[in-house]
Amino acid sequence: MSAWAQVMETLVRQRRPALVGYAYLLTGSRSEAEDLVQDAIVRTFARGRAKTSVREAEAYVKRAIANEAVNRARHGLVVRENRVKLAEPVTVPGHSARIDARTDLEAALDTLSPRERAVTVLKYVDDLTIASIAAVLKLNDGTVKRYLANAAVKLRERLGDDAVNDSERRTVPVTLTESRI
Amino acid sequence: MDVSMQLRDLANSVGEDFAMNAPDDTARLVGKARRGRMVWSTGVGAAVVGSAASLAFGGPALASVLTSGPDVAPAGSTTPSATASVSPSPDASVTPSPSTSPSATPSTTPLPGTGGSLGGVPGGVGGDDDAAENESHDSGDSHESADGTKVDDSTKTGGDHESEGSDD
Repeated sequence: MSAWAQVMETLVRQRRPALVGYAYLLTGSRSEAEDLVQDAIVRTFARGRAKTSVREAEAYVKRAIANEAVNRARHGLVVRENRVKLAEPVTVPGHSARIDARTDLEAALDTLSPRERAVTVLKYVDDLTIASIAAVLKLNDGTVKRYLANAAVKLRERLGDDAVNDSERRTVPVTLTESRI
Repeated sequence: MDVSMQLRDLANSVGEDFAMNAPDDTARLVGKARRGRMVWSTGVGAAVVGSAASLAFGGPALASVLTSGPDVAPAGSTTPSATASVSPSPDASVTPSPSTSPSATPSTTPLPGTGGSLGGVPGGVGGDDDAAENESHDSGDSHESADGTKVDDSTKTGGDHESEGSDD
């Protein structure tokens, strides 16, 4: 088996669930996330030079997922699943709060546009800088900042001030570093 | 809990849920990527070879045509001969037989199999080669050595057509 095939097999076996979860944040649909991950993995290894490490390949696949998620959503290819509020389980204490938080977060993410959603995921999950997000999504820095600001407003409306304010407070040093550069 | 932690928790829970029911289609995906890789490399390789070949062979000819304007005239002079060679070439196969019918009819009957190449290509070059080849291949006929001069004269007219036809 060639080197790229071994890297791909390792990536699929070890990192595919994490990639599906990552794609779910971008799409909001489980089936769409699985399809997106499969396409991104195959396309990543079917073209271009072979990826030599799983880490490099995963980073490449994640970028492909983000771009493809935006493209599909903008072209109306994503059929959002109708989410039904889950009933509160009585027997497990604390579980209901977690489910509520999850559904609230999903509902909040659904209010974002595809690019706002992608920018939010790249910022808060991947911890990418503004410049890096702009490079991945092929946008201007100012556009990324505008999408982030709009997303923060929408998320704050749904999740409360604490959720987004904590994140903004955490990213202040990053912003200062970028402005210094 | 901030948005970052919530998003990661959501991704983890979806990933764990997927891992419990994950299909074991790794081999299928690798095969799919391998097929795509073959198609991709074939396409890119063909494009590279094609562009290299066009630069190597078509490039100078194309450049000479595009850059040197007066040199287009020789290129145009070859086109009438090419057109002329196309139309008489069917006639050339017919006209030599009436012209050489009194003497060369027996000699032309063995020629279509082998004589097409013998009388055609060297006929444009020179009659001596034709005579030598006719003598060498058909050594049994003494008339052909004498007729060889006649055939040469006739093949000079037809030989031009055939030689140009061979250039095409």
